[in-house]
Amino acid sequence: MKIKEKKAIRNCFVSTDESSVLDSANVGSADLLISAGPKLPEDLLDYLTEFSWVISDANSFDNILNYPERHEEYIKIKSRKNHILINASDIAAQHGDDRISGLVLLGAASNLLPLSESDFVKSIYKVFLAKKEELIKINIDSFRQGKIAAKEYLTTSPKSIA
Amino acid sequence: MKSNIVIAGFRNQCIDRLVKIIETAVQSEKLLVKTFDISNNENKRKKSYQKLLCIN
Repeated sequence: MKIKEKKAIRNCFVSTDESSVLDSANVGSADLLISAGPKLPEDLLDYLTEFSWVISDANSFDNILNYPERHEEYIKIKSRKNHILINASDIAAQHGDDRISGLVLLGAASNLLPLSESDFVKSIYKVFLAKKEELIKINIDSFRQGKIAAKEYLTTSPKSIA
Repeated sequence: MKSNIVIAGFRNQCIDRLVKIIETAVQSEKLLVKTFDISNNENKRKKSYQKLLCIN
């Protein structure tokens, strides 16, 4: 497997498709980071520009004692020009499964992607095709709630750009 | 429209699922997407699991 290193960045990209190699020069920076928690991995900060969007769960990892002071992490994210910080785990838990907070955050991020809600809903159906109808519904509802929560956040957060 | 998306911090299974959903949704719009692992040099003991999706 080939690996191309980007000089200015400590990480390397490895394609999940063995036949393709990522040309880091063509990648540039991340437009969007979807993070499970407010503590952003240091290595990923290199990919973010001042305009990159950070979408994060505001209340994850409550049960980890040595998790960094959340207040500091919130300040770091909120100081960013473009961010969405929502209680994804709570929203997912309201739908009966806090493990699907990722779908909530994907819903929040979907407003910023060149894809329609319909594209995502159809995709969720396809990916969960073998699962029970109820599970599919929960995932779609979570996705939609995330989309709504993000819009509300952008409306109420004075530092965010809608 | 080009979009680079990084997904990090979730369990492996969750990240794989999110990637699959995005990849499938992208196909509906007849856009191209490439998915890459991002290795984390700061944490070699525990292999980190982070993904980068490039939508074109």
